[in-house]
Amino acid sequence: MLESPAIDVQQVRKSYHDGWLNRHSIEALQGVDLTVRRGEVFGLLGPNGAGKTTLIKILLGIVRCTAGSASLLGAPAGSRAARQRIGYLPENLSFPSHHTAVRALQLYGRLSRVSERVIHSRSLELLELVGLAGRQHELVRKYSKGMRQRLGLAQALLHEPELLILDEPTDGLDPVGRSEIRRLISALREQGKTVFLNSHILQEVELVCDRVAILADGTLRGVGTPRELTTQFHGALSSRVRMELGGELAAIESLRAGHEHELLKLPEGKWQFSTTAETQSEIDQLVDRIRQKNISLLKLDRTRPSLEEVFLSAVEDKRVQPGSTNS
Amino acid sequence: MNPYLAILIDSFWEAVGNRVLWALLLGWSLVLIGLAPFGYVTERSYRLTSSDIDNRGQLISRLAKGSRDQGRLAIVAVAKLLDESFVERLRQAEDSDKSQSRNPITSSELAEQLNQVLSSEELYTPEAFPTAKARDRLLPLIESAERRKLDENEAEELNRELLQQAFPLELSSPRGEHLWIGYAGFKIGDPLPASRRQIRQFIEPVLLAGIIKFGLGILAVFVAIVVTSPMIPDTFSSGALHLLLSKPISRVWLYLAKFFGGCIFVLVNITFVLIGLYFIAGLRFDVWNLGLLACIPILMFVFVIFYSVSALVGLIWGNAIVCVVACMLFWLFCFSLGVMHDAIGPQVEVMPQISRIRTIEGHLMTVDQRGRLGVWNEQFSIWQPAINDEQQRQARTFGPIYNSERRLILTKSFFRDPFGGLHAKNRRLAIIHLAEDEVSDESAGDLSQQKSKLASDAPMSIKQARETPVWLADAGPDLPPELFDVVSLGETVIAVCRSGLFRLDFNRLDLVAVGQKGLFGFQLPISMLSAFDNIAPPDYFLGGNTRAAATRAGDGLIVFSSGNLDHLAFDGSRLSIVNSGKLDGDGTEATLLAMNEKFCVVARDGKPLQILDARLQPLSELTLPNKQQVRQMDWIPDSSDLAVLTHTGHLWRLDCQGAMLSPLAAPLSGRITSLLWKNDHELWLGVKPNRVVQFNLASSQVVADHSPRATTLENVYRWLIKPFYIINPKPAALDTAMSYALTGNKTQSLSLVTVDLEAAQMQVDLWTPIVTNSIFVIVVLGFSCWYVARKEY
Repeated sequence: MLESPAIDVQQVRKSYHDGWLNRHSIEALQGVDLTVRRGEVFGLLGPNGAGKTTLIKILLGIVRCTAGSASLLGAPAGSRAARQRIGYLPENLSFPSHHTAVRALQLYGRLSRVSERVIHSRSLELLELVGLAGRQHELVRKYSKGMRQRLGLAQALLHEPELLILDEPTDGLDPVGRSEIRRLISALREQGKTVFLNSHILQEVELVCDRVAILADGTLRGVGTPRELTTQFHGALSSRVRMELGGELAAIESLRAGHEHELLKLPEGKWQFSTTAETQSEIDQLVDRIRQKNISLLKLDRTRPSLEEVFLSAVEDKRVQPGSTNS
Repeated sequence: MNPYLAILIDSFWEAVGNRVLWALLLGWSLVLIGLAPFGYVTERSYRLTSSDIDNRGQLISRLAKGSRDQGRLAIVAVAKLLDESFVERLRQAEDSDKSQSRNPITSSELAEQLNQVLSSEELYTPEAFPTAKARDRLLPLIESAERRKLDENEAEELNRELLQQAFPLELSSPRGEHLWIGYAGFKIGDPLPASRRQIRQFIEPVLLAGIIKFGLGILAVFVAIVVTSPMIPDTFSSGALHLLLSKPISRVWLYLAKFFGGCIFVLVNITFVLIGLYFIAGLRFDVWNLGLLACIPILMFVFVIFYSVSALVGLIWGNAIVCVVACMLFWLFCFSLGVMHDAIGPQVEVMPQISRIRTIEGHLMTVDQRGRLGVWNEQFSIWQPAINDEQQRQARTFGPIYNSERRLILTKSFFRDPFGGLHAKNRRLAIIHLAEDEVSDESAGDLSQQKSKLASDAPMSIKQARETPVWLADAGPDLPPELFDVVSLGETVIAVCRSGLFRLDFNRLDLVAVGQKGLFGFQLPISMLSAFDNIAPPDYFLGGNTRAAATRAGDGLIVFSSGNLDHLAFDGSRLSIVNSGKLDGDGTEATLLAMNEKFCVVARDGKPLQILDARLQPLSELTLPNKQQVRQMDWIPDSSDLAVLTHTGHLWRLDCQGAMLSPLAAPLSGRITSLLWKNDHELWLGVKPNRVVQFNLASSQVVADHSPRATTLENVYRWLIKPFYIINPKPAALDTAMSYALTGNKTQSLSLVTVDLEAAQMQVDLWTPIVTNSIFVIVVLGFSCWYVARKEY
């Protein structure tokens, strides 16, 4: 029997109604298909208003989808069975002002139906893990934003969920804290937990996520590993070659006649020549042509596009059809 | 642990962590600490205070006369013991009083002077106080005085009793104990002019209920609403809510748990205050009233009503200020509706209630709670006013007393102040002459022909009929002052007054009428205008709140006054004491009496029914179910049983022989306001609001139903205001539940102090407010739950 995916979203649509008599309709999600495998760290990327929060709310059952279906760990999204097995760290988390870390963990543990004994033992362990040991009896309202975020992470882990949905987990954390969270996520992956990460910090996603989905304007623009996404957006974002050349300007200009290129004059009669090369043979051909035209090749750099560039391209590129590379 | 229980516990900690709670508890603690030193201060004392002087002017006059050796020997004896300078002032005061100038002697000064007399050993002489030895209580004191063996306290007691004999109308009866409200043992002001029982009667329904209704029911609930209003909006704001909703719990139960969690705040406050009040009232005033603790859930219910509105508004608008404003608007709406209902309700439901039914020469006559004497008008089906006697407030009407020999009806109305005192513009009896022809001879010469006439021609419309009296009543003689009761003793009328028992001399009625108009242009002396003669035994004076009734045979009176019960026989000219008895209690209780050849039945406010034998010796006591208060008693014809009507509108048959109470089968039970036995199987019943039903006990059928047409105000109230009021929430109506919890009475007197058991009492409607408010809360919470379940956050 096949194990159900951690998250399975099928043609999910969500419309919000607004205005006088709800006459204006806003399509927050327009038929999203997404599958997150068990045990992977999955990142969800998208600009503000892309529909990321709406998708998470649908997964948690906080809002209902207009059409389509979603399930978590084989149970319908929003069902009590599904919520029993997930840990959630919301964005802009706030705790009641009368809570200490211990009392907060006690309450959320009880809400997750964890026994008192486990709450007691796990609380100390988790507070140690997130770096709040020794400050567990202070009122949460005196905590910094980063400390509250750590406490939020602790509560999400308290009942040992199979799936963690983390909404901006490193928000408000210093670089050390972010690094710790990344290590924690990696550790969770090693424990076989599934992590669904929603973050604006692309480098972070690139560092910890096995796979990434890009959501824009309620549609999924791409899903895959960072490398797959780069490949997916190959046409727009192939390797870029930058060279320092010495020689006649006319000869240099003729190197890529008919192709996109940039030419920049450097001191001492040097020129910086930049162009795109989709394959290695294309670069080899370019080097051969430089030699043929007696141009001196002083330096050659080859760069690949970052996830940020892929993200920006995907968000802006309407031509890419979602789902085509979905694995 | 159950997650919802966890939310409740968390709400408790939230309340504990709230500074406002601690500030409020501190405030309440200061209030309770401030209240705790209040209490009674009692002293055994016969000394007089200014409140004991009932009639200052008359007392000054009598003492002044006594100082001139005028008047009774007892007064002369007292006057001789006063300071000479004071005597001089008394004389001056009396002279200046005659010339209408200001009287400079105050009640306090009078009391002070009379208190000097209390320590004298020379006041008592057999000549001055010839009847004193007849009093069982005074005899040993007088014997000791004669042997010069009285100590200071005994001398004070004896002299106070002698002073009372000398000035029975001018001084209040001695209680032997002075009662003050004290603070930390220090007396505040003068001694209270009331007994502990009366003070307790005031403390429970007025003082405690006032503190609870206004201090907690309004002020504390409003503060609680302000403090708890952010709880629901805060919980259902996105930052905290998304995390809560991600947990495996129901949204609806989450909402309900937070809602009831918010109530913990109020529960802590209310419990603290009421437990504090319970102990203060118990320890300081000896009022151990568990009803105070029963008010905790009632007050919580009041809060829940408002909080349900606040929580719903908080869910929808998510703003605490809007919650508070919405609650205030809701309170204003409920308050306005309640005021409208409470203002009109008694006018429509209580005041028209029939308290007495009489059938006189074919006229069906009734007295309602306003004291209006009504005559049934068959043509328009209304109670037409018998005479022109406007009474808008609750009143006590004596009569109608019918004299068949002279074919006249006597009546007189007084209105009551909140403390039960009777007042009227004058004390003249109203006399209706039921003449065959309506000729009224205005000439003074032909007295025998003087008759009342019909007020006007037959009214043409129902409106006219409602406003036009049937008869023009003649002004009769003045009733004696300080009247307690008017009793019909066969064909004789007895006015029961503080100064004695006065018989109306019908033969002098016409003379009085002439005297009032003047004869041949001359005014007759005032003494000739009185038609009442005191036929009481010598030195027979009555104390406060006296009640009397004629014996069933019409041959005597039974009188209850200051705890003493006297049976007086009437020999055709005078009344004489046959038997006397003393009842427990302080003697200030409102009382109803009934006596036949074998038994005397006494119903007193807050006491069980007492059955005594003909010698006024106690036989047995019976308690009516559910602490029902007696409203009327009437002997059942051809039977030794007594019909007892309660303020809850139920009829009981009291078997005096077997000392048993059994329900008396009658129609419209629970709505009966008065009764009149026509014979052993025919009964007239006054039924709420103002119907009279003639019921045949043998056939168990209603023979006649006199149900008057409703006025416009009554229709508006019955078909518009009342239904709207019933279906709407009414938190303030839960006050009745609190009053019930505090007093245990299902009916409440409309006066501050109950002095007349026959006066209509408001029936405490416990369940309508509880049911309608519960429905309201359920509907509001149900809508809130539906909203929470559907809302996408």
